[in-house]
Amino acid sequence: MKYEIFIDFLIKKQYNVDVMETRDLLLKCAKKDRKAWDEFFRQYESLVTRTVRYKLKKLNFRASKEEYRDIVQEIFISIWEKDKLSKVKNAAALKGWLAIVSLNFTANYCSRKAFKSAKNTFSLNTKLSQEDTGFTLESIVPAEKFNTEKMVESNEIRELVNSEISKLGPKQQLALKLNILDGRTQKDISSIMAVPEGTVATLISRAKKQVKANLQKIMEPGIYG
Amino acid sequence: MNRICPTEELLSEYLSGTISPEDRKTVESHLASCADCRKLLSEAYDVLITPDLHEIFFNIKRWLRKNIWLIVAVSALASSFFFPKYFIQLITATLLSGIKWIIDAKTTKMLITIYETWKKSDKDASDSIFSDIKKN
Repeated sequence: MKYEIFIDFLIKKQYNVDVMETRDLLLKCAKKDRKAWDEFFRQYESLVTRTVRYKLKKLNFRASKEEYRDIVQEIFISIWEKDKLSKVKNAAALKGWLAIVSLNFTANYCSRKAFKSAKNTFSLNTKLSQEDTGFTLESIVPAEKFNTEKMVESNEIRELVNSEISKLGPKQQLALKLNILDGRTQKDISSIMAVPEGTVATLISRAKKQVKANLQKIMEPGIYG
Repeated sequence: MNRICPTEELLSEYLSGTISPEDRKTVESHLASCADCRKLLSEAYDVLITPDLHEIFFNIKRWLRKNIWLIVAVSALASSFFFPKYFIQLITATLLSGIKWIIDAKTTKMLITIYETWKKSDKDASDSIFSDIKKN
């Protein structure tokens, strides 16, 4: 009997000593435990900051240090206020979830900001000086010259390829698009899709072969007919 | 094809590989057709694979806190060679802190709980602990 009390004591002590595991942390945060929230903020602040910096860089959006901090804080506040953490059921997915939430929030923030500063954009027809010299912005900004016929043709081909790709199975399609459209390496794709690298290689090569064969079938009568 | 974008929770579960097979299918078929979600997913992936100094420090700190008794044991053992005068005392300290470390380890804690429930011959309870371990 004494032995059992001893074991109980050890187990209880262990729980107190142990650093808060992610799952416990999540549960406590969902209950709005103040201490748990402090811990949560301390652990994941750098991840959120990193994500915000990454997204702002991608969007070519310049922000001051204060603005970074503001965005990070707003993200945490929105998580707290909307009680978003209670939706996260899986502790292993928490980091990814935070990254996705931060990415979305930053994108929204930037679009709101851009909308506010839209007044500062220039029209191509604005006069360059107060006097009427006949010059407008349009006349000095070089326009991209393009060949209409070529463009129509390339658009047609693009549509054809896209329609062929959309006939593939979802796994093949996803792997192919991640590889070709998003420029991801096979290693990245294998960890995103949680399949071995060899499988990704087969998926992509098979998808390419299938699209090629189907396109040839469509093009051939046009060439020989 | 599903036009409604999956929730942030579902996408993050997909990214971490903890998603259920049915959900995986729906998310994959959506991702195949939605460029925005694909972009979001690969950006999140980019963020997650870049190493973070803060996190590394945090993990080291956590490891140190967890294995504090192991560190004490090893340092006591090492110092017993340098201070032969206190050899017995230091070896005792090594043994004690080593035992403390073993008791504190999480696996031992689990084993003890399993042993306890077995002793009470409560089969259901021990099964639930086993399934807990498998989940972890």
